[in-house]
Amino acid sequence: MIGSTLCRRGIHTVPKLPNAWLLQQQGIPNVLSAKGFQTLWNQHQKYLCDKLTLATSGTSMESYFPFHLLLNTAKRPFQTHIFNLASAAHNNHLFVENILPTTHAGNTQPSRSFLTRIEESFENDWESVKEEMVRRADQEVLGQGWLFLVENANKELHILLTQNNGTPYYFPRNQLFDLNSALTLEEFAQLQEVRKLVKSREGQKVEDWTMPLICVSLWDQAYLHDYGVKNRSQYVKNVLDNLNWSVVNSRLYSSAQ
Amino acid sequence: MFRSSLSFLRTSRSYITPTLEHLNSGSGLKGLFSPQGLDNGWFSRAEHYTNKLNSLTNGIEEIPLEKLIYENAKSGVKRNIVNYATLLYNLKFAFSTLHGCPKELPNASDIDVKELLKTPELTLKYANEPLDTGKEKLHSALVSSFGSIVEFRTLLLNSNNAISGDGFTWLVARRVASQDFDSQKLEFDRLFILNTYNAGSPFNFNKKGHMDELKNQYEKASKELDQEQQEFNAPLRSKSVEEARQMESFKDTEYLPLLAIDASPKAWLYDYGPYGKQMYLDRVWESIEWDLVESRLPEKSQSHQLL
Amino acid sequence: MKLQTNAVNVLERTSAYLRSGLLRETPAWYQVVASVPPTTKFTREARFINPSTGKKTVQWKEFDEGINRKGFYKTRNSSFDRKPMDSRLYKAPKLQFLEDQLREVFYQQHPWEFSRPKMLVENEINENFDWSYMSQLGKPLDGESVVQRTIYLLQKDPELGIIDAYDRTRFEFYRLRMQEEIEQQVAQEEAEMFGSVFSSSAIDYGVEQEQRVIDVWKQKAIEETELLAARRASPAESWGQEKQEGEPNKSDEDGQETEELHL
Repeated sequence: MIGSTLCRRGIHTVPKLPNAWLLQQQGIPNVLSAKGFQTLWNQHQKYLCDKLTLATSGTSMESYFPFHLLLNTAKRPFQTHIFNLASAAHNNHLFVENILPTTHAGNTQPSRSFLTRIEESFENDWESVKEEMVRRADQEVLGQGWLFLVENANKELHILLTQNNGTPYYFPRNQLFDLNSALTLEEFAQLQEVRKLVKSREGQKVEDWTMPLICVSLWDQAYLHDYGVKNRSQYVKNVLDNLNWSVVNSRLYSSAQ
Repeated sequence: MFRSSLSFLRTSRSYITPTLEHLNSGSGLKGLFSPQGLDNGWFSRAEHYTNKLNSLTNGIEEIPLEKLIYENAKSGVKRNIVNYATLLYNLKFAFSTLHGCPKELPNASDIDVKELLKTPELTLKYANEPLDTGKEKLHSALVSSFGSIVEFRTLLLNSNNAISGDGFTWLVARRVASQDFDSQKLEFDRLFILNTYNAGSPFNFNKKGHMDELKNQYEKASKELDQEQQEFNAPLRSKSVEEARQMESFKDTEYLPLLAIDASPKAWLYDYGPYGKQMYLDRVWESIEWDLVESRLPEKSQSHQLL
Repeated sequence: MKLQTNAVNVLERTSAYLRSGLLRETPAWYQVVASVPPTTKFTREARFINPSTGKKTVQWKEFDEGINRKGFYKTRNSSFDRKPMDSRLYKAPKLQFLEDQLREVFYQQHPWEFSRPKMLVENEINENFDWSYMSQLGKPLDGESVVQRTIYLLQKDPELGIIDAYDRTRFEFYRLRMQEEIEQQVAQEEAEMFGSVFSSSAIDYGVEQEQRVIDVWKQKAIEETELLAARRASPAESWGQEKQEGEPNKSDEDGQETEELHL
């Protein structure tokens, strides 16, 4: 999944997708038009890869994958520009993977273990969780961002909304809050807890084993062409209704693996 | 009957989508936006934000945007209202100075990696500088604050280019705290460039003390939880960097915005494509109506401050 | 002395060993040495032309056309004339490149460019960059970019002159660096404004270290002032060699200091 982003000689290239040609002609049915898909993948992902190449070539990180780059730079504030690009490139790949149309006919379905896990974590069914995701994306991400359904170390599922290029893999860089506007006390308390935790763990690793299951891009590059400024919620809903479940199901932890 | 009067009440007291005289829907902005691009960047957004604002305020509030932002700036609960109000204000501010430039629109699909690798021009004179249209007051203010117009332009456009998500780059004037009692007089001593992200506002009053208040509340709350953990407030403790920043960055200075540039992909993605932000910014520079910017500029203070 | 050729023949010998079964496994270096075999020529050859500049390595002295003092024509070089030239003929010629000169000037003018880490282990080198633009995919922006682009500009337009070409690339380089720098600062600011939490920065660390010293000093200062206060309280007590006359003034000062400390 992660390793498939090709990276040779320190040059990042857009990962190859199955049926790439068909996707460029037809887009992703019910989600993105051909032009919209080209903007998102052929242009935006390429832009991210090129920028990443420019930022990392000639450094000790030049042959890392975006995933390793984002983990490596997450703790260094002065490398945030690399982190942003790496995180964006990685998230975008995750996103496109889970909306790729399935090759065989008919829609795939969420697996039984996924549905039970949803029941356990949210005490609600998938349809209402989906609505909740759409609602929270609309409410909490004002500008650019990402919507995730993540599985944490305790194998609980959570909805995670990150601002701009936040990453689900390392919680001090989740970028959950928008400090540009006022914070509520609860949010501030949460932020303060994270700060304390990071500070107390000086020199040690802060561990976070969160894994994303579903990733939805809330960046303009993904939806603006097809949905316009006003209909982002419709787009999120369409994405969640047309997920590639064979990919999402395989991301879920199962003890059999 | 009752129903209709209610709806009448609603429409009469809700916010109206702002309009700008020089922007017409259906036609683009010469050299900067195509009709669709302008719609994405301005009309749809203004309408969207206004609708959101109305639905959040239930159409019962009518106070001007500035007042709304001012009064609720520190309220976490009313955050969404303030956000949309700020966005509307910022957006209108940014688009008010864009008047197009005598160039042809580029073809978005032609802008590729070459644009990213493009070697910067070395010219020291750009089109549409304030002095070209005789804005001497503005010109001298810019030169005294930034050194030269080239330096100003570089800083302004680079700052905006570096924003990865949504945001605005502002040219602001720092207001001099007047010693006289008639403090209504507007004077500035220096111009600055600053970035705001998402719905951040260049008026720093909404931030002043917000974090401190939250921190106090938070500490009070956490102290109630465990009494034993008492903060040892030593008199000789130097401030941490974070504290210092909070203290210093939101001091009692006021900034007056003169010019804003929108960094959101909503503005440039349609016409310039993912690689085209730099090109968009170059054209924004050529489209700036310096007349308006200069009209916003207050008097320069006569103090003999060493800058 | 007989020429030692054993080392050079290592490939042949190993091949023979392999063929005869003396060696079971092919050594790791085998393929490499086979593709780039060691030279077997041991005679030094005179080099008349410096390959980097294309100039002659030695210049024979021209003979005087006229008759010398003794009334003879000079027909060949004397041993004295030949001496300095012979040794230079066989020495490795000094390679001189324009790039080296540019590099030297650039790094002399921008010594902080040295502080940027440089990768010594190379993945795979692609030297075919198109220097019609400054930033390159797969190559960091550094002094080398300036050098290469200067050369490119010179080749494209020989009229430009080396100083102008160098200055032009230098200013292009500055503009790109400015862009880079702002990008890094803004990215950091932006991340913090969106709730990123970093562990303490270098400045934070400095403040903390300073605080630690201040704390220790403060403890000491308190102890010492307490000691002085105690001494003042019972002046009759002997405190070693210190004189009692000067004491009231001094303790006053100390008292002030104590108060300040507890502000």
